[in-house]
Amino acid sequence: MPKIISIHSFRGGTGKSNTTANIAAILALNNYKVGVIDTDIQSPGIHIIFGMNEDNIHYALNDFLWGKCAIEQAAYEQTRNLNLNSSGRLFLIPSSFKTGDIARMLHDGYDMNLLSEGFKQLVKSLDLDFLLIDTHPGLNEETLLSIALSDFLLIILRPDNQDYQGTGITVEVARQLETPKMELLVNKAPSVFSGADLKTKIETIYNCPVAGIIPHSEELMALASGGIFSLKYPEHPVTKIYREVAARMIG
Amino acid sequence: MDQRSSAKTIGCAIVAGIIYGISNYISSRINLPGCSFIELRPQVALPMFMGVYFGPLAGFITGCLGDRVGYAFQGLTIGYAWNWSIGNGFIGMLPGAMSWLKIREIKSVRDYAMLLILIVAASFLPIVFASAIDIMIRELSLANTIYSLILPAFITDAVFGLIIVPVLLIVAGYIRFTIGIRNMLLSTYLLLFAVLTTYLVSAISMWGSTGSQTLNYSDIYNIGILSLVVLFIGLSISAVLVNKIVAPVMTLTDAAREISGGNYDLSARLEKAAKRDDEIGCLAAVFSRMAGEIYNREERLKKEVRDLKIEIDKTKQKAEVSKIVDTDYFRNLRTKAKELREKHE
Repeated sequence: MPKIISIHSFRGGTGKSNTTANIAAILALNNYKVGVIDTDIQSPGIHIIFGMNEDNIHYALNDFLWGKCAIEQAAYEQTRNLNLNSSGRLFLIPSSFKTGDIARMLHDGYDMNLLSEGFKQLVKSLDLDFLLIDTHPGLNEETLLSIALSDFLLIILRPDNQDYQGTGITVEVARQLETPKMELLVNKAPSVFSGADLKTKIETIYNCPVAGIIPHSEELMALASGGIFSLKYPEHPVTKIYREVAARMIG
Repeated sequence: MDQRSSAKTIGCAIVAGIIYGISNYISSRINLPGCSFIELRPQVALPMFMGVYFGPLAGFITGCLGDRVGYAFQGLTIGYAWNWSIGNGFIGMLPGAMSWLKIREIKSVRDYAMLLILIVAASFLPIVFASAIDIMIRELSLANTIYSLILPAFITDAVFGLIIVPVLLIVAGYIRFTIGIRNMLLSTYLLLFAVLTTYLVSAISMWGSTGSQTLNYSDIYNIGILSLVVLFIGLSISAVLVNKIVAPVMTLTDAAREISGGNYDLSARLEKAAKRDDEIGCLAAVFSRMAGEIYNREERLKKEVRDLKIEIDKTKQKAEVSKIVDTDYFRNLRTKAKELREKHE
C-alpha cells in the first residue's frame, strides 16, 4: 500500500528539504518508486538539491493547481540523473521558482481540494510506493492538509527553545488530525549533546519517538551544499542515520 | 629481535662473521709504522652492530666465527688463541644486552646512553677476559699485557665502535630521530672529533720529539685512556643536559596526547615545565593555559547539557493550538481526513 509521508518543521532552516531528498534517494535505492513533491510554494528549494533549474522545468506544481496540466506532467524523473543503481525510481514535482508565479499564488491562492486530488493522482499514475511531501514551515492550510493526508509525519527540529515550542504545537495539531504515525528527527544537534540523553528528553516531553539525531558539523554543511549527501557519502555516519529513518518509514 | 626468525638471524650472523674474518685478516696484514702491536680494527663495529640489532647470539657468532675465519686465512688451526675467539664472541654478545634490557629501538637518551656504555664495555671486558687467560696460560706479565694487549685494543676498538656502530644502526633504521637522540648524536660526534684530534696531535708530537725508536708507548696509551675518560665525562654531561632539554618537551608531547584523548586537566602536570624561563617554559605555560580554557569550556558545555531543559510554555502552546484547531477549516479537514482513512481501510 502506498504511503504518503509529510516532512515538516515548524520553522525554516532546519534542513527539511535536504532530509527529504536524502530519504527519498535512500528509499529509491531500496527499489521503491518514490515521488517528492515540493508544496513549499512560497519558498521552493528542493529542486536545487536535485540540480534542476528553469531550463529543465516546463510545468510545475503551480501549473497543475491552475489547471494548466495534469500532475504527472509536472513530475520529473531523477532516477538516471542521480545514477541510482536500483530498480527503484525517483520523481520530483517541483514548485515553480519563478517570482511571478510565486507572487500570483500568494495573491490568488488555489483550491486546496485540487492539491489533495493531485497527491492521489500522483500516487496512482506513477504507481508510487512513497510520496514524500516537502512542506512549507509553519502550520498554514496546505500544510495542515498534507499532514491530514499523511500516513507518516516526520517533524524536524533543531535543539533550541524556539523549535521546542513550535514543535509542541505541530505535535498537538497532528494528534488532533489523528496522523497514524508521527516521529521526530533532531537536526544540527551540537556535538557536545550526548545523543542518547537528548533523545530520551525529547521523547519524554513530546511523548513521540525520535527517529534520529543528526549532529551538527561544519564538514556536513560544506559537503551537503552540493547534491544529495547520502549518495555521495554512503558510508558517512549521518547517511546511516538517514537510512534508519527511511527504514522506519518502510515500517 | 623476537620477530626476526632465528634461522635468518643465524644466517645473517654467519655472513657477517665471514666478512668480519676477512676484514680481520686484512687489518692484521697492515701494520702501523713503528708499532707492530697496534692494530686498527674498524671492523670491530660489525659484531657489535649484529649484537644490538639481531641479539646476543648473533653478535657472538659474528665475533667468534669471524675471529676463526681470520686465523684460518693466516693458516692457523682451531686451537690457536681460542680465548681470543671467545673474547671476540663476547664483543658481539655484550651489546646484545640491549635486547635483554627490552630496548627494541633506540628512541630516548637513556637508550642511546645504554648503547654507548655497552659499546665501551664490549671494547674492554672481552679483551680483559682473553688477556687474563693469556696471563694464566702463557704466563705473560701483567704490566706487559696491559700495555701491549689490553690498552691498545681497548682504545682503538672503543673509538671505532663509538664512531661506526651508531652509523650502522641509523642505516638499519634502529635509531629513531627524537630530539634527544639528535642532540646526543651531535654531542657524541663533536666530542669524538675533538678528543681524537687532541689525542692524535699529542701522539704525533711525541713521535716527532722522540722518534719511533725511543717512543714510550705507555705514554700514548695513558693519553688514550685519558682521552676516553674525557669523552666519557663529556658524554655524561651532555646526556644530563640533553635530558634537561628533552624532558619538558616529552611532558608537553604527553600532555598533547592526553588532550587528544579527551583529558584536559593538565595544569598540575605542566606546572614544572611552565616555570622554566625559556622558550619551552613559555610554550608549556601557553599550552597549559589553553588546555585549561578548553577544559573549562568543555565542563561548562557538559554542565549545560546536563541541565538541558526543554521549556515549553504550555499556556502559549494551548493558545496557538486552539487558534489552528478551533476553525471551520480544521474541523472540516479532520472529518475529511477521517473519512479518507476509513475509506482506505
